[in-house]
Amino acid sequence: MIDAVIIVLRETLEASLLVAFLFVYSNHFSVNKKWMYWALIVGIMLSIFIASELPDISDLFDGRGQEILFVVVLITLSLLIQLTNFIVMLPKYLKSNQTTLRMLFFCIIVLAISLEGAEIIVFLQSSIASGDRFYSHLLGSTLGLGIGVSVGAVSYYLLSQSSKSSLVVCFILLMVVTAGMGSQAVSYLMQADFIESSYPIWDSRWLIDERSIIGQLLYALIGYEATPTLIQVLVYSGYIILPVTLLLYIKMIHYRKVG
Amino acid sequence: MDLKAERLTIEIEIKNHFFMPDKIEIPVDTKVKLVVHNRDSTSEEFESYELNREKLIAAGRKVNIFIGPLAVGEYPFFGEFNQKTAQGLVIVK
Repeated sequence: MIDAVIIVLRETLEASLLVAFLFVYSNHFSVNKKWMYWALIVGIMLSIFIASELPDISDLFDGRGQEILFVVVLITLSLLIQLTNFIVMLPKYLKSNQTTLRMLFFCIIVLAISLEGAEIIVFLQSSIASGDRFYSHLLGSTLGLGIGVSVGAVSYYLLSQSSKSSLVVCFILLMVVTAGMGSQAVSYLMQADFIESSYPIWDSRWLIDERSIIGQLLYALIGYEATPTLIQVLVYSGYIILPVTLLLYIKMIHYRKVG
Repeated sequence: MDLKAERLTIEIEIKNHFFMPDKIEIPVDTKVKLVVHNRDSTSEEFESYELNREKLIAAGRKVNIFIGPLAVGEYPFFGEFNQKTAQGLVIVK
């Protein structure tokens, strides 16, 4: 049962935290949350579809279909989140962009749930087929889902307490979440032999093991990997350095014009 | 590099939630294509923290997973859905 808790918790955590951060944004900019609930439903439906088609998807492109699907979703998701961060950090454009934010939130939640949800569904299908373990797996999965959603709810509650600093915290956390997605996409590209793999540039297992609870939490939150390759670290850094530089540049030009 | 990868292909089977073989030896600093056949009637996820790899394998299907080049050492992998039994090790020499 404990395996089921961990498997489902791992998949749920990232999506749950993502939804929590977007809820904070939506509160701050008075974006109607109704769309986000619809996104949950559409996301679950899409994850059921992906789970049922995954065997055939995997066989596409000379057995690289699964990696291509995951990379496309991860890159799209990360870019949509980065775009959202930009709109949020440039409030002078916001008034005309309520609809854009709503659309972005919708797409982000749908995509985030579709991949993580598909993995949970494949796991549950596997449990059903295995027969005797189904009930313990179902109980474990429910617990994992409950803990994951609770962590998201607590994060949302904590971040809702202070409006100004919570925006900055959400901005930073969402940015590192996208960096983690970028790094994960690189890992899939190596797995499918689209790019050459290389030796890891460090090994921090002695400090935080990816199997540990902290390791799992950090994986969901900041895309922590104990043995990353150089390309992964470069992509991860790019996801942080590029938007921050661009944002500072835009703000600087704006203040120069105003000043 | 691709030709080299074609030569270094290792087949693994998943049967009754066990990897067969559960220990594979590969040469140091070499890219290897693992072909994992899932002979069970349930899906499995090949996963390894040490190799940074994870891939779902549907029942009765096979997948390709590229690993390496790797340094000398031992790299555990496991079937995430059946961790009690599905455990394996890549030994790089």
